[in-house]
Amino acid sequence: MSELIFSLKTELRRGTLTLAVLSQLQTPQYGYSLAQRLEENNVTIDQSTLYPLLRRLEKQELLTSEWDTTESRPRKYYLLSELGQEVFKQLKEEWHNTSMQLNSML
Amino acid sequence: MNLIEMYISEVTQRLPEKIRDDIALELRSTIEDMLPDQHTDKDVEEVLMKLGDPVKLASEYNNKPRYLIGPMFYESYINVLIVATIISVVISSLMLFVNGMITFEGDKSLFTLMAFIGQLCLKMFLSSLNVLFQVFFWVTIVFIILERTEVSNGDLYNWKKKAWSPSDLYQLKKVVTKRQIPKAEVFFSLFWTALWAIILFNSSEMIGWYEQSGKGLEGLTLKAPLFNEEVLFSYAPFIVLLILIEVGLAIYKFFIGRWTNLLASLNLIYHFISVGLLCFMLTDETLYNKSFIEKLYETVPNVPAFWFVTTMATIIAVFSIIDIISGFNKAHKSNTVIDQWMKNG
Repeated sequence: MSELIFSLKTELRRGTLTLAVLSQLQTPQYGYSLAQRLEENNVTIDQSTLYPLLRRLEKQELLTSEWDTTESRPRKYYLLSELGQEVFKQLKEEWHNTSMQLNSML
Repeated sequence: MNLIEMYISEVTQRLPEKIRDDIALELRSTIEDMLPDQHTDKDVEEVLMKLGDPVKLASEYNNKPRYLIGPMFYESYINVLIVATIISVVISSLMLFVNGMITFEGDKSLFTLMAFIGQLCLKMFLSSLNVLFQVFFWVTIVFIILERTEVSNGDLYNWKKKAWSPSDLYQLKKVVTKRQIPKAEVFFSLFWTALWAIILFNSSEMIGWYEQSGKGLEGLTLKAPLFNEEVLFSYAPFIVLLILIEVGLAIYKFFIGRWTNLLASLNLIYHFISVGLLCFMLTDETLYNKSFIEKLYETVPNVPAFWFVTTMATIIAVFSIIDIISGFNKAHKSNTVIDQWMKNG
């Protein structure tokens, strides 16, 4: 029973994680700073999920990345690409519509 | 090597070479970000605990499918598997059967024939098993490769089918069960063809006048074959033609899978040819072995000449007519059912 709930919850949240990540990348972020920002907003995401997700989004050309080696330790910064901006906009709209529809039903 | 490096190498050694260094660098900086400035081994352990099992992390980075054949290909995989299995098993069995027919030797009594058939069945079973494994192996390999090469899902769907519309339903061919031809029927008719061909071509040593010259079944010896071998073999081209037609019809039935007017017509032609050939052969007096006839008259002198010839011809003709009519009937029935169904739908 609890296992079923867990897997259903995970399934429900899976798509929203991408949206949450995209929303925080209007400004360049490196992995850990992004994780912290998400945590501050009470979005729980496994770090082991987050970092690979960033790479996937980069591969899908929604994000661009750049190594910053000027500070004490090198960090990889991620930022929304143009395509990423557009996708984020549309996903956001979709989210608003869906949550409105669901709210009226629930 | 410290704990962090060991963790990183546990992850990266599972990744493709190309992205290893980059991910190692990123992981290292992330882990250091997560650690307080003055950290102990315990802090490191906690951080690594947050990142979790390195194997799992590596698999997330890899993002390769963790299945052999995914939902995209599963359906076609099963279909190809079934069709390939059936075809290759049928072909390999047929080849063995024909091969057996040609190479059949021995004293060719009904007895050894039975043993021979048993052996042949075993051979066919074993070869089918072998073929089954081969087909399964190769089809699976091909689909695993398909799954892993980047055939985009959209392409596949476009290639596979046009957009579905309700009118497709009218073309459904499997709905009406009455006109379906069971696969078993097809296999049986192939088997039957092979059986009568074997017996006929070996008839000079199998069918004829048997006399008991010892004890038990093995004491039965063939005194006079029923047919005159030379005359029988002069019919061989026609018989082979009939075999080809029979096999061709069976294979056609297998693929079309249902009765149609065309199939019923072909069935009609086939029966005309076979009954015609049969009647022609049965009434050809030179076909029968003289010593067989003599022995027959010695034993039952009052039997009208070849009464069984006419009886047999009649029986076969009646069965043929029944089969012809039932073929057209099935084809017709299926048509009317479809017509009605289309009207109602």
